[in-house]
Amino acid sequence: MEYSALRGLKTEDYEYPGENNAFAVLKKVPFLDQVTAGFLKLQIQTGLLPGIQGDCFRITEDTCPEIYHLYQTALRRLDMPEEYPLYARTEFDYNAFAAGGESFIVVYSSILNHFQPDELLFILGHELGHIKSGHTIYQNMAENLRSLISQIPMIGQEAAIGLFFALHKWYRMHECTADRAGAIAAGSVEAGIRGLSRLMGTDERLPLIRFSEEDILRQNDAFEEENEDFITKVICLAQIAGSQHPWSVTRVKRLHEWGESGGFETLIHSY
Amino acid sequence: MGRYNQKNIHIDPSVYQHPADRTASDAVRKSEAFQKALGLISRFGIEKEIHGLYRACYAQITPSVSPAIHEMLKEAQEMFDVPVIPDIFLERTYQMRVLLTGVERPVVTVSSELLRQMDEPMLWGLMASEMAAVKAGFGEIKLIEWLCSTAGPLLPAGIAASLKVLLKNWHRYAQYTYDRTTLIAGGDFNRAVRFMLLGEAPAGVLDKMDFLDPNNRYMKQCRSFLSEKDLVANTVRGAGAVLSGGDFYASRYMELFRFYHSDYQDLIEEFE
Repeated sequence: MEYSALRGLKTEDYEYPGENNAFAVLKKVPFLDQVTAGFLKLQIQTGLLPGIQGDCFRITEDTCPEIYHLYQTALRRLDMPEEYPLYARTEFDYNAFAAGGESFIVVYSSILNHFQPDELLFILGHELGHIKSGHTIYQNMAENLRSLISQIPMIGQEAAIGLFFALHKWYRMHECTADRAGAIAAGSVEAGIRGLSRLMGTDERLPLIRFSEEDILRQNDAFEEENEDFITKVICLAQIAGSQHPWSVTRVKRLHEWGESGGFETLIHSY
Repeated sequence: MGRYNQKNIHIDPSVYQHPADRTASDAVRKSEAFQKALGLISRFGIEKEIHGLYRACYAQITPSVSPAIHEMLKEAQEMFDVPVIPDIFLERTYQMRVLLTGVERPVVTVSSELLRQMDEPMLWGLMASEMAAVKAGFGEIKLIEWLCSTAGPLLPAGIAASLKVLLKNWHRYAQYTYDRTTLIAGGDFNRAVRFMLLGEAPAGVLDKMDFLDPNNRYMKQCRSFLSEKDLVANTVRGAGAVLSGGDFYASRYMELFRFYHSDYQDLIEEFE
Protein backbone atom coordinates (compact mmCIF):
# COMPACT_ATOMS: atom_id res chain seq x y z
CA MET A 1 0.00 0.00 0.00
CA GLU A 2 1.46 3.38 -1.01
CA TYR A 3 1.34 6.26 1.42
CA SER A 4 3.85 8.86 2.46
CA ALA A 5 2.45 10.37 5.64
CA LEU A 6 -0.38 9.70 8.06
CA ARG A 7 -1.10 13.23 9.22
CA GLY A 8 -2.57 13.42 12.70
CA LEU A 9 -1.85 9.74 13.49
CA LYS A 10 -2.52 9.07 17.18
CA THR A 11 -1.08 6.20 19.20
CA GLU A 12 -4.57 5.20 20.31
CA ASP A 13 -5.33 4.37 16.68
CA TYR A 14 -2.97 1.41 16.64
CA GLU A 15 -2.30 0.60 20.29
CA TYR A 16 -2.35 -3.05 21.27
CA PRO A 17 -5.58 -3.72 23.23
CA GLY A 18 -5.10 -3.47 26.96
CA GLU A 19 -1.99 -1.31 26.90
CA ASN A 20 -3.89 1.90 27.48
CA ASN A 21 -5.66 0.59 30.61
CA ALA A 22 -2.40 0.13 32.46
CA PHE A 23 -1.17 3.44 31.11
CA ALA A 24 -4.23 5.29 32.34
CA VAL A 25 -3.46 4.62 36.00
CA LEU A 26 -0.08 6.30 35.76
CA LYS A 27 -1.40 9.08 33.56
CA LYS A 28 -3.85 10.07 36.29
CA VAL A 29 -1.09 11.02 38.71
CA PRO A 30 -0.74 14.81 38.27
CA PHE A 31 2.59 16.09 36.91
CA LEU A 32 4.14 12.62 37.22
CA ASP A 33 4.95 12.40 33.52
CA GLN A 34 6.61 15.83 33.44
CA VAL A 35 8.65 15.08 36.56
CA THR A 36 9.71 11.68 35.24
CA ALA A 37 10.60 13.09 31.84
CA GLY A 38 12.74 15.70 33.57
CA PHE A 39 14.56 13.13 35.71
CA LEU A 40 14.97 10.78 32.79
CA LYS A 41 16.42 13.54 30.66
CA LEU A 42 18.94 14.31 33.38
CA GLN A 43 19.71 10.61 33.85
CA ILE A 44 20.30 10.10 30.13
CA GLN A 45 22.26 13.30 29.66
CA THR A 46 24.67 12.36 32.42
CA GLY A 47 24.71 8.57 31.97
CA LEU A 48 23.84 6.98 28.66
CA LEU A 49 24.10 9.86 26.20
CA PRO A 50 27.81 10.76 26.52
CA GLY A 51 28.72 7.14 25.71
CA ILE A 52 26.42 7.14 22.70
CA GLN A 53 27.58 10.52 21.42
CA GLY A 54 31.22 9.67 22.03
CA ASP A 55 31.31 6.15 20.65
CA CYS A 56 28.46 5.71 18.18
CA PHE A 57 28.25 6.93 14.63
CA ARG A 58 25.55 9.55 14.04
CA ILE A 59 23.46 8.89 10.96
CA THR A 60 22.73 12.05 9.03
CA GLU A 61 21.87 12.99 5.48
CA ASP A 62 25.58 13.55 4.80
CA THR A 63 26.98 10.42 6.42
CA CYS A 64 24.43 7.76 5.38
CA PRO A 65 21.89 9.30 2.99
CA GLU A 66 20.05 6.04 2.21
CA ILE A 67 19.46 5.10 5.84
CA TYR A 68 18.69 8.71 6.70
CA HIS A 69 16.00 8.88 4.04
CA LEU A 70 14.46 5.66 5.32
CA TYR A 71 14.43 7.23 8.77
CA GLN A 72 12.67 10.29 7.37
CA THR A 73 10.09 8.01 5.76
CA ALA A 74 9.45 6.29 9.10
CA LEU A 75 9.10 9.65 10.88
CA ARG A 76 6.71 10.91 8.22
CA ARG A 77 4.54 7.81 8.15
CA LEU A 78 4.20 7.88 11.92
CA ASP A 79 3.54 11.63 11.84
CA MET A 80 6.46 12.50 14.07
CA PRO A 81 7.62 16.00 13.09
CA GLU A 82 10.51 16.09 15.54
CA GLU A 83 13.68 14.32 14.45
CA TYR A 84 15.47 12.32 17.12
CA PRO A 85 19.19 11.67 16.73
CA LEU A 86 19.84 8.27 15.14
CA TYR A 87 23.06 6.42 15.92
CA ALA A 88 24.71 3.26 14.61
CA ARG A 89 26.57 1.06 17.07
CA THR A 90 29.02 -1.61 15.94
CA GLU A 91 27.56 -4.90 17.11
CA PHE A 92 27.24 -8.35 15.56
CA ASP A 93 23.90 -9.02 17.22
CA TYR A 94 20.55 -7.77 15.87
CA ASN A 95 19.18 -5.13 18.19
CA ALA A 96 18.06 -1.51 18.46
CA PHE A 97 16.78 0.65 21.28
CA ALA A 98 15.20 3.99 21.97
CA ALA A 99 15.79 6.19 24.99
CA GLY A 100 13.22 8.59 26.35
CA GLY A 101 13.52 11.98 28.00
CA GLU A 102 16.30 13.21 25.76
CA SER A 103 15.09 10.87 23.02
CA PHE A 104 17.39 9.16 20.58
CA ILE A 105 17.60 5.85 18.77
CA VAL A 106 20.49 3.42 18.45
CA VAL A 107 20.49 0.69 15.80
CA TYR A 108 23.14 -2.02 15.73
CA SER A 109 25.33 -2.06 12.64
CA SER A 110 24.42 -5.69 11.79
CA ILE A 111 20.83 -4.59 11.20
CA LEU A 112 21.93 -1.64 9.07
CA ASN A 113 24.19 -3.90 7.02
CA HIS A 114 21.93 -6.91 6.54
CA PHE A 115 18.28 -5.88 6.64
CA GLN A 116 16.29 -5.04 3.52
CA PRO A 117 14.99 -1.43 3.35
CA ASP A 118 11.42 -2.31 4.42
CA GLU A 119 12.74 -4.52 7.24
CA LEU A 120 14.90 -1.62 8.42
CA LEU A 121 11.87 0.67 8.22
CA PHE A 122 10.11 -1.76 10.54
CA ILE A 123 12.95 -1.58 13.08
CA LEU A 124 13.10 2.23 12.92
CA GLY A 125 9.31 2.47 13.16
CA HIS A 126 9.28 0.08 16.12
CA GLU A 127 11.70 2.28 18.06
CA LEU A 128 9.91 5.47 17.03
CA GLY A 129 6.70 3.82 18.20
CA HIS A 130 8.18 3.43 21.69
CA ILE A 131 9.02 7.16 21.70
CA LYS A 132 5.65 8.24 20.25
CA SER A 133 3.74 6.25 22.87
CA GLY A 134 5.96 7.54 25.68
CA HIS A 135 6.88 3.97 26.65
CA THR A 136 10.39 4.91 27.66
CA ILE A 137 9.17 7.65 30.00
CA TYR A 138 6.37 5.60 31.51
CA GLN A 139 8.59 2.56 31.96
CA ASN A 140 11.10 4.68 33.82
CA MET A 141 8.32 6.18 35.88
CA ALA A 142 6.96 2.76 36.77
CA GLU A 143 10.36 1.41 37.72
CA ASN A 144 10.99 4.40 40.00
CA LEU A 145 7.60 3.83 41.58
CA ARG A 146 8.40 0.15 42.11
CA SER A 147 11.68 1.12 43.70
CA LEU A 148 9.89 3.48 46.08
CA ILE A 149 7.25 0.89 46.98
CA SER A 150 9.91 -1.69 47.80
CA GLN A 151 11.14 0.67 50.57
CA ILE A 152 7.82 0.51 52.44
CA PRO A 153 8.39 -1.48 55.65
CA MET A 154 6.78 -4.93 56.04
CA ILE A 155 4.90 -5.17 52.74
CA GLY A 156 7.15 -3.24 50.38
CA GLN A 157 9.21 -6.13 48.99
CA GLU A 158 6.19 -8.35 48.32
CA ALA A 159 4.26 -5.49 46.71
CA ALA A 160 7.27 -4.64 44.54
CA ILE A 161 7.49 -8.24 43.31
CA GLY A 162 3.80 -8.18 42.38
CA LEU A 163 4.29 -4.88 40.61
CA PHE A 164 7.30 -6.28 38.77
CA PHE A 165 5.23 -8.99 37.10
CA ALA A 166 2.34 -6.61 36.37
CA LEU A 167 4.70 -4.12 34.78
CA HIS A 168 6.41 -6.73 32.67
CA LYS A 169 3.07 -7.86 31.33
CA TRP A 170 2.49 -4.25 30.38
CA TYR A 171 5.95 -3.94 28.79
CA ARG A 172 5.15 -6.94 26.64
CA MET A 173 2.03 -5.11 25.40
CA HIS A 174 4.28 -2.15 24.58
CA GLU A 175 6.26 -4.35 22.23
CA CYS A 176 3.12 -5.34 20.34
CA THR A 177 2.13 -1.69 20.00
CA ALA A 178 5.64 -0.83 18.79
CA ASP A 179 5.46 -3.72 16.30
CA ARG A 180 2.31 -2.14 14.87
CA ALA A 181 4.11 1.20 14.61
CA GLY A 182 6.92 -0.64 12.86
CA ALA A 183 4.49 -2.11 10.33
CA ILE A 184 3.00 1.35 9.68
CA ALA A 185 6.50 2.72 9.05
CA ALA A 186 7.39 -0.25 6.85
CA GLY A 187 4.28 0.17 4.75
CA SER A 188 2.75 -3.26 5.34
CA VAL A 189 2.12 -5.93 7.94
CA GLU A 190 4.02 -8.39 5.74
CA ALA A 191 7.16 -6.24 5.90
CA GLY A 192 6.73 -6.06 9.67
CA ILE A 193 6.50 -9.83 9.91
CA ARG A 194 9.59 -10.19 7.75
CA GLY A 195 11.39 -7.79 10.10
CA LEU A 196 10.32 -9.84 13.12
CA SER A 197 11.36 -13.06 11.39
CA ARG A 198 14.78 -11.56 10.72
CA LEU A 199 15.10 -10.91 14.44
CA MET A 200 14.45 -14.63 14.95
CA GLY A 201 17.40 -15.42 12.70
CA THR A 202 15.91 -15.87 9.25
CA ASP A 203 18.29 -14.52 6.66
CA GLU A 204 18.20 -14.45 2.89
CA ARG A 205 21.93 -15.12 2.81
CA LEU A 206 21.51 -18.58 4.34
CA PRO A 207 21.98 -21.28 1.75
CA LEU A 208 19.12 -23.72 1.11
CA ILE A 209 16.80 -22.09 3.67
CA ARG A 210 13.74 -19.99 2.86
CA PHE A 211 11.29 -18.95 5.55
CA SER A 212 7.82 -17.68 4.79
CA GLU A 213 5.28 -15.95 7.00
CA GLU A 214 3.24 -19.18 7.00
CA ASP A 215 6.21 -21.15 8.33
CA ILE A 216 6.49 -18.93 11.40
CA LEU A 217 2.71 -18.92 11.94
CA ARG A 218 2.61 -22.73 11.71
CA GLN A 219 5.41 -22.84 14.27
CA ASN A 220 3.37 -20.65 16.59
CA ASP A 221 0.36 -22.97 16.18
CA ALA A 222 2.52 -25.96 17.06
CA PHE A 223 3.89 -24.09 20.08
CA GLU A 224 0.39 -23.26 21.31
CA GLU A 225 -0.93 -26.78 20.72
CA GLU A 226 1.96 -28.35 22.59
CA ASN A 227 1.55 -26.05 25.55
CA GLU A 228 -2.14 -26.54 26.10
CA ASP A 229 -1.93 -28.56 29.31
CA PHE A 230 -2.14 -26.68 32.59
CA ILE A 231 1.34 -27.47 33.94
CA THR A 232 3.08 -26.43 30.73
CA LYS A 233 1.04 -23.25 30.60
CA VAL A 234 2.13 -22.42 34.15
CA ILE A 235 5.78 -23.15 33.33
CA CYS A 236 5.57 -21.03 30.15
CA LEU A 237 3.99 -18.20 32.10
CA ALA A 238 6.74 -18.42 34.71
CA GLN A 239 9.37 -18.26 31.96
CA ILE A 240 7.88 -15.24 30.21
CA ALA A 241 6.72 -13.38 33.35
CA GLY A 242 10.03 -11.62 33.90
CA SER A 243 10.61 -10.79 30.24
CA GLN A 244 9.95 -7.44 28.61
CA HIS A 245 9.34 -9.07 25.23
CA PRO A 246 6.68 -11.62 24.29
CA TRP A 247 7.76 -14.89 22.67
CA SER A 248 9.03 -14.23 19.16
CA VAL A 249 6.39 -16.45 17.55
CA THR A 250 3.69 -14.70 19.60
CA ARG A 251 4.78 -11.30 18.28
CA VAL A 252 4.52 -12.57 14.70
CA LYS A 253 1.09 -14.01 15.38
CA ARG A 254 -0.23 -10.82 17.00
CA LEU A 255 0.97 -8.65 14.15
CA HIS A 256 -0.48 -11.10 11.64
CA GLU A 257 -3.82 -11.04 13.47
CA TRP A 258 -3.87 -7.23 13.30
CA GLY A 259 -3.39 -7.45 9.56
CA GLU A 260 -5.97 -10.23 9.17
CA SER A 261 -8.56 -8.31 11.20
CA GLY A 262 -8.27 -5.42 8.77
CA GLY A 263 -6.92 -3.15 11.50
CA PHE A 264 -3.92 -2.03 9.48
CA GLU A 265 -5.80 -1.36 6.29
CA THR A 266 -8.63 0.50 8.04
CA LEU A 267 -6.08 2.69 9.79
CA ILE A 268 -4.25 3.58 6.58
CA HIS A 269 -7.47 4.35 4.71
CA SER A 270 -8.77 6.51 7.54
CA TYR A 271 -5.86 8.96 7.12
CA MET B 1 31.95 -40.72 -0.77
CA GLY B 2 29.55 -40.26 2.08
CA ARG B 3 26.39 -38.61 0.87
CA TYR B 4 27.22 -39.67 -2.61
CA ASN B 5 28.11 -43.24 -1.68
CA GLN B 6 25.09 -45.16 -0.44
CA LYS B 7 27.24 -48.18 0.38
CA ASN B 8 28.24 -46.41 3.58
CA ILE B 9 25.08 -47.18 5.50
CA HIS B 10 24.12 -48.30 9.01
CA ILE B 11 27.43 -47.50 10.65
CA ASP B 12 27.56 -48.40 14.32
CA PRO B 13 28.85 -45.84 16.89
CA SER B 14 31.57 -48.32 17.91
CA VAL B 15 33.15 -47.67 14.53
CA TYR B 16 33.43 -43.89 14.87
CA GLN B 17 33.31 -43.07 18.57
CA HIS B 18 36.76 -42.06 19.74
CA PRO B 19 38.06 -44.29 22.59
CA ALA B 20 38.70 -41.26 24.82
CA ASP B 21 35.14 -40.07 24.18
CA ARG B 22 33.79 -43.53 25.05
CA THR B 23 35.75 -43.64 28.32
CA ALA B 24 34.68 -40.10 29.23
CA SER B 25 31.00 -40.67 28.39
CA ASP B 26 30.99 -43.94 30.39
CA ALA B 27 32.42 -42.05 33.36
CA VAL B 28 29.65 -39.43 33.09
CA ARG B 29 26.86 -42.01 32.78
CA LYS B 30 28.13 -44.12 35.68
CA SER B 31 28.15 -41.19 38.09
CA GLU B 32 25.39 -41.00 40.67
CA ALA B 33 24.84 -37.29 39.98
CA PHE B 34 24.11 -38.01 36.32
CA GLN B 35 21.49 -40.58 37.20
CA LYS B 36 19.89 -38.18 39.68
CA ALA B 37 19.81 -35.40 37.08
CA LEU B 38 18.25 -37.78 34.54
CA GLY B 39 15.59 -38.62 37.10
CA LEU B 40 14.78 -34.93 37.53
CA ILE B 41 14.48 -34.41 33.81
CA SER B 42 12.08 -37.28 33.45
CA ARG B 43 10.07 -36.36 36.58
CA PHE B 44 9.51 -32.73 35.62
CA GLY B 45 9.20 -33.23 31.87
CA ILE B 46 12.10 -30.84 31.31
CA GLU B 47 12.82 -32.09 27.81
CA LYS B 48 9.37 -31.03 26.67
CA GLU B 49 9.86 -27.59 28.21
CA ILE B 50 13.18 -27.11 26.43
CA HIS B 51 11.54 -28.05 23.17
CA GLY B 52 8.77 -25.52 23.81
CA LEU B 53 11.30 -22.78 24.55
CA TYR B 54 13.12 -23.39 21.29
CA ARG B 55 9.84 -23.35 19.41
CA ALA B 56 8.86 -20.05 21.04
CA CYS B 57 12.10 -18.23 20.38
CA TYR B 58 13.95 -19.70 17.40
CA ALA B 59 12.83 -20.17 13.80
CA GLN B 60 12.33 -23.85 13.08
CA ILE B 61 13.86 -25.28 9.92
CA THR B 62 11.01 -27.53 8.84
CA PRO B 63 10.92 -29.56 5.61
CA SER B 64 9.00 -26.73 3.93
CA VAL B 65 11.62 -24.17 5.00
CA SER B 66 14.49 -26.28 3.71
CA PRO B 67 13.69 -29.45 1.76
CA ALA B 68 17.42 -29.83 1.02
CA ILE B 69 18.43 -29.97 4.68
CA HIS B 70 15.71 -32.50 5.45
CA GLU B 71 16.87 -34.63 2.56
CA MET B 72 20.33 -34.59 4.12
CA LEU B 73 18.90 -35.56 7.50
CA LYS B 74 17.09 -38.53 5.98
CA GLU B 75 20.22 -39.71 4.23
CA ALA B 76 22.21 -39.32 7.43
CA GLN B 77 19.50 -41.19 9.32
CA GLU B 78 20.09 -44.17 7.07
CA MET B 79 23.84 -43.83 7.11
CA PHE B 80 24.12 -43.80 10.89
CA ASP B 81 21.00 -45.87 11.59
CA VAL B 82 19.37 -43.17 13.73
CA PRO B 83 15.86 -43.89 15.10
CA VAL B 84 14.62 -40.29 15.14
CA ILE B 85 15.32 -37.14 13.12
CA PRO B 86 15.80 -34.17 15.47
CA ASP B 87 13.96 -30.88 15.08
CA ILE B 88 16.32 -28.26 13.69
CA PHE B 89 16.19 -24.66 14.89
CA LEU B 90 18.01 -21.56 13.76
CA GLU B 91 19.73 -19.61 16.51
CA ARG B 92 20.35 -15.98 15.69
CA THR B 93 23.92 -15.28 16.67
CA TYR B 94 27.17 -14.18 15.08
CA GLN B 95 28.94 -17.02 16.86
CA MET B 96 29.51 -20.23 14.95
CA ARG B 97 28.00 -23.01 17.00
CA VAL B 98 25.68 -25.95 17.00
CA LEU B 99 23.98 -27.61 19.95
CA LEU B 100 22.25 -30.97 20.27
CA THR B 101 20.00 -31.66 23.25
CA GLY B 102 17.39 -34.23 24.12
CA VAL B 103 16.70 -37.91 23.87
CA GLU B 104 13.02 -38.51 23.16
CA ARG B 105 12.65 -35.34 21.12
CA PRO B 106 16.18 -34.34 20.20
CA VAL B 107 16.71 -30.76 19.09
CA VAL B 108 19.62 -29.32 17.13
CA THR B 109 20.10 -25.57 17.13
CA VAL B 110 22.43 -24.22 14.47
CA SER B 111 23.64 -20.66 14.59
CA SER B 112 22.85 -18.38 11.68
CA GLU B 113 26.51 -17.43 11.30
CA LEU B 114 27.62 -21.05 11.03
CA LEU B 115 25.01 -21.69 8.35
CA ARG B 116 26.08 -18.60 6.49
CA GLN B 117 29.73 -19.66 6.43
CA MET B 118 29.15 -23.20 5.19
CA ASP B 119 28.87 -24.49 1.66
CA GLU B 120 26.52 -27.37 0.85
CA PRO B 121 29.02 -30.22 1.38
CA MET B 122 29.95 -28.74 4.76
CA LEU B 123 26.29 -28.49 5.68
CA TRP B 124 25.92 -32.16 4.86
CA GLY B 125 28.92 -32.94 7.08
CA LEU B 126 27.36 -30.95 9.91
CA MET B 127 23.93 -32.57 9.65
CA ALA B 128 25.41 -36.05 9.34
CA SER B 129 27.72 -35.60 12.32
CA GLU B 130 24.81 -34.37 14.44
CA MET B 131 22.77 -37.40 13.42
CA ALA B 132 25.68 -39.67 14.38
CA ALA B 133 25.81 -37.84 17.71
CA VAL B 134 22.11 -38.53 18.26
CA LYS B 135 22.79 -42.23 17.66
CA ALA B 136 25.80 -42.20 19.99
CA GLY B 137 23.62 -40.81 22.80
CA PHE B 138 25.23 -37.37 23.00
CA GLY B 139 21.79 -35.75 23.31
CA GLU B 140 21.32 -37.28 26.76
CA ILE B 141 24.63 -36.02 28.10
CA LYS B 142 24.10 -32.61 26.53
CA LEU B 143 20.68 -32.42 28.11
CA ILE B 144 22.30 -32.84 31.52
CA GLU B 145 24.99 -30.34 30.52
CA TRP B 146 22.25 -27.85 29.63
CA LEU B 147 20.45 -28.49 32.91
CA CYS B 148 23.62 -27.96 34.96
CA SER B 149 24.56 -24.76 33.12
CA THR B 150 21.13 -23.14 33.23
CA ALA B 151 19.69 -24.40 36.50
CA GLY B 152 22.79 -25.61 38.36
CA PRO B 153 22.17 -23.66 41.60
CA LEU B 154 18.57 -24.90 41.75
CA LEU B 155 19.51 -28.57 41.53
CA PRO B 156 19.83 -30.72 44.66
CA ALA B 157 23.17 -30.23 46.39
CA GLY B 158 26.25 -31.52 44.64
CA ILE B 159 24.76 -32.57 41.30
CA ALA B 160 26.09 -29.73 39.17
CA ALA B 161 29.40 -29.51 41.03
CA SER B 162 30.20 -33.20 40.82
CA LEU B 163 29.31 -33.38 37.15
CA LYS B 164 31.21 -30.26 36.12
CA VAL B 165 34.64 -31.77 35.50
CA LEU B 166 33.25 -35.04 34.12
CA LEU B 167 31.12 -33.16 31.59
CA LYS B 168 33.91 -30.85 30.50
CA ASN B 169 36.21 -33.82 30.07
CA TRP B 170 33.61 -35.59 27.93
CA HIS B 171 32.92 -32.46 25.93
CA ARG B 172 36.59 -32.20 25.08
CA TYR B 173 36.82 -35.74 23.69
CA ALA B 174 33.39 -35.76 22.05
CA GLN B 175 34.87 -33.33 19.55
CA TYR B 176 37.14 -36.10 18.26
CA THR B 177 34.07 -38.17 17.51
CA TYR B 178 32.38 -35.27 15.75
CA ASP B 179 35.48 -34.78 13.60
CA ARG B 180 35.48 -38.45 12.66
CA THR B 181 31.82 -38.52 11.65
CA THR B 182 32.24 -35.39 9.55
CA LEU B 183 35.03 -37.17 7.71
CA ILE B 184 33.05 -40.40 7.32
CA ALA B 185 29.99 -38.54 6.03
CA GLY B 186 31.83 -36.34 3.57
CA GLY B 187 34.63 -38.71 2.66
CA ASP B 188 37.01 -35.82 2.11
CA PHE B 189 39.78 -35.25 4.63
CA ASN B 190 40.59 -31.72 3.49
CA ARG B 191 36.96 -30.67 3.73
CA ALA B 192 36.63 -32.20 7.20
CA VAL B 193 39.65 -30.19 8.41
CA ARG B 194 38.38 -27.02 6.75
CA PHE B 195 35.08 -27.51 8.55
CA MET B 196 36.93 -27.99 11.85
CA LEU B 197 38.90 -24.79 11.30
CA LEU B 198 36.02 -22.78 9.83
CA GLY B 199 36.34 -19.16 10.85
CA GLU B 200 39.79 -19.70 12.35
CA ALA B 201 41.79 -18.50 9.36
CA PRO B 202 41.46 -15.63 6.90
CA ALA B 203 39.00 -16.31 4.09
CA GLY B 204 40.39 -18.43 1.29
CA VAL B 205 43.52 -19.58 3.12
CA LEU B 206 42.17 -22.99 4.13
CA ASP B 207 40.98 -23.78 0.60
CA LYS B 208 44.52 -23.60 -0.69
CA MET B 209 46.00 -26.03 1.81
CA ASP B 210 46.43 -29.77 1.42
CA PHE B 211 45.99 -31.07 4.96
CA LEU B 212 46.86 -34.63 3.92
CA ASP B 213 50.34 -33.53 2.99
CA PRO B 214 52.45 -34.39 6.07
CA ASN B 215 54.67 -31.41 5.31
CA ASN B 216 51.96 -28.79 5.09
CA ARG B 217 52.52 -25.66 7.16
CA TYR B 218 49.67 -26.25 9.54
CA MET B 219 50.89 -29.78 10.28
CA LYS B 220 54.29 -28.33 11.13
CA GLN B 221 52.71 -25.79 13.45
CA CYS B 222 50.67 -28.50 15.18
CA ARG B 223 53.63 -30.83 15.57
CA SER B 224 55.69 -28.05 17.04
CA PHE B 225 52.91 -27.16 19.47
CA LEU B 226 52.32 -30.75 20.55
CA SER B 227 55.99 -31.58 21.01
CA GLU B 228 56.42 -29.00 23.75
CA LYS B 229 58.72 -30.45 26.42
CA ASP B 230 58.28 -27.83 29.11
CA LEU B 231 56.34 -29.33 32.02
CA VAL B 232 54.82 -26.04 33.16
CA ALA B 233 53.65 -25.11 29.66
CA ASN B 234 52.12 -28.56 29.17
CA THR B 235 50.38 -28.42 32.55
CA VAL B 236 48.88 -25.02 31.76
CA ARG B 237 47.72 -26.24 28.34
CA GLY B 238 46.19 -29.41 29.79
CA ALA B 239 44.38 -27.47 32.47
CA GLY B 240 43.13 -25.01 29.87
CA ALA B 241 41.74 -27.81 27.72
CA VAL B 242 39.98 -29.44 30.68
CA LEU B 243 38.54 -26.19 32.03
CA SER B 244 37.32 -24.94 28.67
CA GLY B 245 35.82 -28.29 27.72
CA GLY B 246 37.42 -28.10 24.30
CA ASP B 247 40.65 -29.49 22.94
CA PHE B 248 43.19 -27.61 20.84
CA TYR B 249 42.71 -27.65 17.10
CA ALA B 250 46.26 -28.98 16.85
CA SER B 251 45.29 -32.08 18.84
CA ARG B 252 42.04 -32.54 16.92
CA TYR B 253 43.76 -32.26 13.56
CA MET B 254 46.47 -34.75 14.49
CA GLU B 255 43.87 -37.17 15.89
CA LEU B 256 41.86 -36.98 12.70
CA PHE B 257 45.00 -37.43 10.63
CA ARG B 258 45.82 -40.60 12.57
CA PHE B 259 42.24 -41.86 12.20
CA TYR B 260 42.30 -41.21 8.47
CA HIS B 261 45.40 -43.32 8.03
CA SER B 262 44.24 -46.18 10.25
CA ASP B 263 40.67 -47.15 11.17
CA TYR B 264 39.11 -44.99 8.46
CA GLN B 265 40.91 -46.96 5.75
CA ASP B 266 39.59 -50.23 7.24
CA LEU B 267 36.10 -48.75 7.22
CA ILE B 268 36.38 -47.78 3.58
CA GLU B 269 37.60 -51.24 2.65
CA GLU B 270 34.77 -52.84 4.58
CA PHE B 271 32.11 -50.91 2.73
CA GLU B 272 33.65 -51.16 -0.71
